[in-house]
This record gives sequence, structure tokens and C-alpha cells, in this order.
Amino acid sequence: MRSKTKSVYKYNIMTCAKPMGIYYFMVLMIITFFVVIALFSSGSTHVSGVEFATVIFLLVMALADFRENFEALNQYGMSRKTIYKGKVLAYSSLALAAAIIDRIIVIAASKITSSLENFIFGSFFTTMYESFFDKLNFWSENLLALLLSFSAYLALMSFGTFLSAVFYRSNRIGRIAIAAGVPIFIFVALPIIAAYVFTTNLANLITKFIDFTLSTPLRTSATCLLGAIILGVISYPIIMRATLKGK
Amino acid sequence: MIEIKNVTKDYKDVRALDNVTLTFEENKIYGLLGRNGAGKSTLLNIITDKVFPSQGEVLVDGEKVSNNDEVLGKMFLMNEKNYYPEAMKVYEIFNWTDKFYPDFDLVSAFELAEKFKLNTKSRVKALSTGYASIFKAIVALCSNAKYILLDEPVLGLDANHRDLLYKVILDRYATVRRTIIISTHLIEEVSSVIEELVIIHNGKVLLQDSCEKVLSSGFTITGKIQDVDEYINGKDVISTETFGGLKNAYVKGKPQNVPSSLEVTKLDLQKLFIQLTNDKEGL
Amino acid sequence: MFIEFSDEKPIFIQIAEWIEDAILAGRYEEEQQIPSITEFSVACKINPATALKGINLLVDDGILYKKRGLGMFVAKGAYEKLRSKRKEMFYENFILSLVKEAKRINIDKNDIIKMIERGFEND
Repeated sequence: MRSKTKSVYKYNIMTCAKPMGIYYFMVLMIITFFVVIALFSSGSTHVSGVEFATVIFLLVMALADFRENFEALNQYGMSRKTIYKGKVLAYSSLALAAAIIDRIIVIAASKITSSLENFIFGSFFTTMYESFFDKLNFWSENLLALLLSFSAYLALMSFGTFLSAVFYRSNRIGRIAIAAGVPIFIFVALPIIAAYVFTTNLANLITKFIDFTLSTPLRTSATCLLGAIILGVISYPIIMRATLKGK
Repeated sequence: MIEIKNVTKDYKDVRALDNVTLTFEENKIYGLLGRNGAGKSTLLNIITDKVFPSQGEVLVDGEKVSNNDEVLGKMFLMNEKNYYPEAMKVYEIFNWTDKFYPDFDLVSAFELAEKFKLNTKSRVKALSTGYASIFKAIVALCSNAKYILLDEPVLGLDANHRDLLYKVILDRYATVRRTIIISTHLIEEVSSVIEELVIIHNGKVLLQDSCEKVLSSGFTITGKIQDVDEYINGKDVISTETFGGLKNAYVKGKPQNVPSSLEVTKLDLQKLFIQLTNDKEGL
Repeated sequence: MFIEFSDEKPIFIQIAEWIEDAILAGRYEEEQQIPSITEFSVACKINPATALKGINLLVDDGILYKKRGLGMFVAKGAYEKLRSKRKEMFYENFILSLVKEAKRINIDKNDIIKMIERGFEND
């Protein structure tokens, strides 16, 4: 790695380390909280959302990080190409780190709480593909879960970066359109389209497509990785033409 | 050497720079003067590849700046606005700059902070306008880059700090010769510090010359209205002003055959500047 | 070191004059080092090129000389040289106009000499 890329890489890692630290501290607190509740109550608790929470967290972090990161590195005299390269490398590392940490949390928490009968600690992904993971031994299960969470995290970070880069490049009207458009599309338009589509022949095709891309953990992680790469690639020209904005 | 070749910059409905061709030579202190909105910041941002020109190009030591880490590393731009993370502390930014600019002088940065009584533990967002300028100027001057570009470095500084900052600029310049470009609209106080003068107005270069040449290109004559009028008759007059029966005239050329009733002083740079950049708004 | 610059002359000439005055007042003796270009530049808030120009005027006049790697020094005989230069200027600036004015209002030579003596006594 060239020394400037290395500095950009380090800068990204160091500036993301703090919010990630805070996030994992909160995760541990919440898990502890639920364990305590399980200890003192008879009702059963089922916690299995760590990876899903991490996905949301990493998406938001990538969204929030872009502008400040780009502008600061610009002040430090880094070219856009170097900013891009450093970010890709740093985000890959962070996605991997988060995947490993989450695995450790899942393994440790389920071991520690195994004696508690009314507390079940599971993994989001292994729960999602329960029948698939059930057949695997300890190592293959964790390795596959690691790959799956890494791909999902990277895809979402890539998406966050892409979205905030477009947002940064847009003018005021464009920003409003993105800010309003994305949630409207996901929560209003998509269900309507879906409802319409499921009454037509297209439904079959879409079901087949989803089945093909997401039916097994390996397929899902391949889809996520592909998505991450595509988003990363289309973010490149957007970042290359980004200019410092007046404040 | 920084060469700016036929650079034009259009924003949506404004032409910020209009076919600007300029050269900044090595090891000189330049004053980039212009009124607010004249295009100074845009020019500095284009030189350092932070903003793209609509037309034209910039060469630094013969190389294009765009996506050239090596060339970008030779320059440091102190922006007028803050682009550092607001929650970061001053000393953290010193340390990071040290990582990105290998020649950064960390020891001097902390020394200068102490001189200006800048608390390096405060966060960027907590700094007043004056201290934000001081902090950014310190980072720029200690970067030890070959080309240091300062955009309004004395913004919000009181007289004492302005004085100190000019001295610091000269001191850093004396230890290692480099090119320093100071963009400002406070002309008079910077005129003794700079060697070369560039005046831009409405996106165009009005004047580029050595400061001394400009200063010796004319003179000021003061006296009774009638005496002054008599003397300046037929001469190339830049501008005049009258007050309480006295008249000041700014005249081009060398003072010759001045009657003893008139007083000759040097050209007032600020007056020349106002004259050059006056868009006939006034009272 | 503090130099108050006036608007009447270019700064580099005022630097040269300040050094001359300092030598005449004995603040810098012959063979003594004067402040460096950098010191002048920083203390007076002027571009080093301006300070250099002022100092070079005095180098050309043989008042100052450069020791390689050490800095600028006051030359031997600088004091005398400056004194005779200033003496000549004194004659041109004061005596000539004094005589001219005296002739205009009919004061004769002896009267002037007496007045000068009186001036010295009252000083």
C-alpha cells in the first residue's frame, strides 16, 4: 500500500473506531440487560438480532461519515483517487472486524447463557437459514456465518457511501428528492408495486430471482458481495467529480 | 512554479473566474488581493484541485494537479471556511496533518499555538472566528509545503494577533524559503509583507507586478484644493478626494517640480485598489 | 529594535537610514555585526527582499560588508564616511538655505556666527 493510501486507511479506521466502540458497548449492555431480566423472571427471552443491528449501524455510519471524511481528507491534500482507495480498504477491514466481533459475541453469549433455560441467544443469519446451518459442524457454521455477515455489512456500507456521495453531489432540490424519495420508495412505492406485481405473471419471475439470489447463505453472500462491488464501482466516478462545497 | 492557464470557472449563473492566466514563481510571498467575491477563494481551490475549472488548466512544477498526490502534497491550502471535523481537537488535527504531510513541523505547531495562546485541547467547533483562523494558519505554515496558500488568514484576528501572524509568516519564510500566497482584502497592512501583488476583480486579473514597482508607479500629493488642481492639471490622475479645504490627489508617474506648498507622500495602495476595483457604486 | 516607518519614502531607504543613524549614534560600532535580514524582516514586518535592498544600499556605499556565513558587519571607517556624508547633507540642507534666507532679510555673516554661538550656549 502506498504511504498516502495507508494514511487515508488509518484515518478512516481511527475515525470509525470511536462510534464502533460506542455501538458495541451498547450492544453488550443490552445483552446483559436481557440476561439479567431472564435471571429474575420466568418468561423466556430470545435475542437474535445482533447482526441485523450491526447492519443498520454500519449503514448509518457510512451515511454519516462521508461528507466530513471527504472534506477533511481534502484539506490534508489527498487526491480523490487516494481517498477512494483508502476508503474501500478501510471499509472492507471494518466490515470484516464487525463480522468477527459479532461472531465472537454470538458464540460467547450463547455459551455463557447456555445454562439459562429461559434465555436463548441466537444469530440473525443462522436463524434465517436454520435448516442449512443445522447440518454444519462448529467451524463450517461459523466460517459461513462470518462470510455471510461480512458480505452483508460491506454491501450496506457500500450502499451508504453511494447514497451519501450522491447526496453530497446533489444540489438542494436533489437532496430533498433523495431524502424524501428513498424512504417513500422503500415503504410506499415498493409495497404497492409488489402488491401489483404479485397478481401478474411477473411474480413468478421475481420469486425465481429471489430464490436464485438469496436461497442459500452462499448465494446471499455472493449477491451481497456483487452488490457491494457494483455500488463501489458506480460510486467511483461520483467521488472523482466531487468538489469542496461552500458552507 | 504554479502556472494557471486560461482558467474559467462558471457556477450556475455566475462567472467566478474569467480566462485567468497567472504564474506564481518559487520562493516569493504573493498578495492575492480582491474584494469579497472577486474569485480569490475559487482560484485557490482550483489551484489545489478542490474545485474543477470549467475551462483551462493548472500546472504545478510542470505537472497537472488533478489526482496527482505528489503535486497535491507540495501544496497546502488554508481554507477560509472550516472543513475539519468539528468534534476533533486541535492537537488531533496537528497529529493527523503530521501523518499526511511528512515534512510537517509538529514541534513548531505546538510552539506557535502557545505563542497565540491557542488551546490545543479545544475542539474545532469551540474556536472563535479569530482562533479558527489562527489554528488553520498554524497548520498551513507548519506543513512545510513548497507552496502555502492562505485564504484570508487574518479573518477575525485582533490587531495584536494580526501583527504576530505576519511576523510568524515572515519567520517561517525566513527559515525555509517557499512560495506563500496570502489572499486578503486588507491591503495596507499586508503591503510591506508581500513581494508580488496580484489584484483580481470580477474574476479577472487586473494587475500583477512587484509590490514595490506598483508603489513607485505613482505618488500622493496633498495641499490646498487650488494648488493641487493647478499641479495635477495635465497629469495622469488615479483619483482625488477633498476634505476641509484640502485635496489629496493620487497621481501616476514620478513627482517632479513640486511646489513647496504641496506635500508628497507615497502611493496609497488601498486607494489605488479601491480605484481599480470600483464598480461605480459609492454614495 | 523598532522602526517607525513613514509614508514619505520607500521602506528600503528608511531601513538604510535607520542603520546609518544607529552607526552614527554608536549603537553599532565598526566591525560589529548588525541584525540579519531575517531579524529585520520579522521585527519590522517587512518582506526580506525589502530589507535586503536597504542593506545592499549600504553595502554599495562601503558602510556594511558581508562575512560569508556569518552575516552583515559594519565596515572599518564607516563612522567617518557617514559623518562626512551627513556633514555634506547638513551643509546642503541647512547652511545653504540659512545663508539664502539671511541674505534675503539682511543678516550679515558676523551676526549669523554670533547667533550660532548663542544657540550653542543655550543648548
